[in-house]
Amino acid sequence: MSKDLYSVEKGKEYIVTEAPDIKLLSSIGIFKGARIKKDYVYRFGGPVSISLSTRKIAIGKDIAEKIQVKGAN
Amino acid sequence: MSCHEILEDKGILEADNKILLMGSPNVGKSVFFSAFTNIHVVSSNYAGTTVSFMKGTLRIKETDYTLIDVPGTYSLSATSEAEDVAIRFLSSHPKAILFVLNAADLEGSIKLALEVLDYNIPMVAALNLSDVAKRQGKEINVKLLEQQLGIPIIPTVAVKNQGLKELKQKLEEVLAEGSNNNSQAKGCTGCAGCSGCPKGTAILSYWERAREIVSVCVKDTNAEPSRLDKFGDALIRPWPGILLSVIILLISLGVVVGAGKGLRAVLLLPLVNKGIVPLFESLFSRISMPEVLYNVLIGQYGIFRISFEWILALVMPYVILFQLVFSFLEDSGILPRMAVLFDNIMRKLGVQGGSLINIMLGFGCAVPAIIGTRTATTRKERLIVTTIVCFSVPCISQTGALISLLADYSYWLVLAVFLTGALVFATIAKITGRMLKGKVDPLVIEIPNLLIPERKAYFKKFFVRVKQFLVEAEGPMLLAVVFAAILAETGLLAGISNLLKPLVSGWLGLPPEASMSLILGIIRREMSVAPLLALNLSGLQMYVGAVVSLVYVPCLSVFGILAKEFNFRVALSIVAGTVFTALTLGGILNHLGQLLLMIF
Repeated sequence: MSKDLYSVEKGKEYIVTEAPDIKLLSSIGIFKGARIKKDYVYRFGGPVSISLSTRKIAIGKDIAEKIQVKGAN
Repeated sequence: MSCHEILEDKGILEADNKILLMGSPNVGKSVFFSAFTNIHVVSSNYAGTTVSFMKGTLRIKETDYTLIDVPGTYSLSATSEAEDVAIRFLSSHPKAILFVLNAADLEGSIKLALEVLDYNIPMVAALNLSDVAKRQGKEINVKLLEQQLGIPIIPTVAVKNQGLKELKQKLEEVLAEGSNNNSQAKGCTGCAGCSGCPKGTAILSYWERAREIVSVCVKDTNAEPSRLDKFGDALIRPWPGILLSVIILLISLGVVVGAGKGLRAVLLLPLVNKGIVPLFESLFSRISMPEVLYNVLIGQYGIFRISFEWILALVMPYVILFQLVFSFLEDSGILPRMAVLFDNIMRKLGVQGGSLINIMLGFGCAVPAIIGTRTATTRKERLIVTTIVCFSVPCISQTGALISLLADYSYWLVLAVFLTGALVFATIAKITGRMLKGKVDPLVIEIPNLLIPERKAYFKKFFVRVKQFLVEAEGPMLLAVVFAAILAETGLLAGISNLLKPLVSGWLGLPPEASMSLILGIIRREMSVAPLLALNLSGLQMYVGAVVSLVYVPCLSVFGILAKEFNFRVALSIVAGTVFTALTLGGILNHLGQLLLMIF
């Protein structure tokens, strides 16, 4: 069962099952199969921040809603 | 930013003896560049400080090489202008690559290194930020990493000058090998389609290989996160991050405004009024000259009076303090955190949080802010941010002048002008967002580790910035001063004031002499505020005058950079827009204010 990154619970690890075709996303480390941890969600339409292995990034709401993830375990 | 001319010269691609300096964004490439070429490039702790490439000369064993600081990219898949530039350079037969790995984000930078290695160009790598990695409890086995990547690697802390000599030494060796052995070291170029062919390597497998290499070479000691890392994390949590950011901004503002006012009152004003100006007065009174000339030199608006009153006592303290504070914010990594925390507000205004960094730059000067908007992914975003900066973000010299004007009267007036500015900001963002076609991409931003700026690098940057200001602003400021002196002391101003009286006095409610503001404002922004200081304005007049000069930006340097970065038409529309809006808004506020004063 995959859900969008914006709405899944924070503080947990996920595997990306589908990412929109934005090249900056894949080059920064978000692509199908990538393992990520959702750190925080910022209210009132703010972004989602996530951790990759060694890198922290933030992704705007409009993109985060298009990224599908499933639980890592 | 003239000290490191931004080069658009395509001829550089054909240059012989090129060495490329490459790496992901924000790994400190510019620090290496400055150290190796003695050309100082501004570096900060956020991605995208270098928006175009720079070149400099690197001398190795009597041979001059052209070292090129290629803008940082996350990959080589030509997704942005910066990546296009990087790929073009890689294909232009460079002699060697100096690659900068980020020890604190090894997986990401190894992935990029693997992509670059596929171009079969001799390469040396610096393992930079190795102090941050150590702080985070990561033990990197450099020998193993060298084996895995097949290139020499030198651990460095570039801002502290550690490892740079060894790095240059290695580069020399690699260059010597390269010229002895012209056959490609890991020749895969001739092969049509073997399994190791880079052309077929998908992005995913680069990431997989990078992860494997990291798992072999890095031991995580699970050290307790340092206080700095904990603070960096607190600053990115919605709570207490937003509170902390607001506190940091208020402290920054307090330091600039408070210390600026103090410096002015205690040191600079006495120095100018009791020291410098009397000195010139007695000097000029000894020489016989026509009265007009004497007045132009040292009269009420004399060159030798107002150049010190305005430039030395009004503008300089604020410029210096701003650079001191802002360089700290830039180097620490606080700015990208604010971009994340306030993305929601910026998104509602039609842009994204990342543009906040450029807007903050605009509080220093609009010129670097407008150049910085090159990092925007769409032209629409670039134009919106540029317009916001021009209409509603006062540069620091102007802010200083405004504060001197308003704060002596009342801090409420400062607040009122600030709120009016914020309203203009939001309105302009909304209007340009509607008017322009196209889209604005949502935020995607890397959050760097929080760093305490390294003292030497920090002060060097500070001095470079202040010097830059002096070189670039001194001329126009003096021009404005000479212009003001001639206008005021020859009686020309009286004529012009008479002509503009319906506008300045009738519509804006200011004394006729305030027409000087509108004229000098064409040269520089703060010069539209300075003449108001001596006019004994009422509270309402100060408010109207301040709002008009805040929005009014025909500043010559801004016009120049707009024409260069966009085109003449854009420059003219934005500048004319600010003039029209400033005068319209000023008049409306004046009449509203007078109405309110009548009622109460």
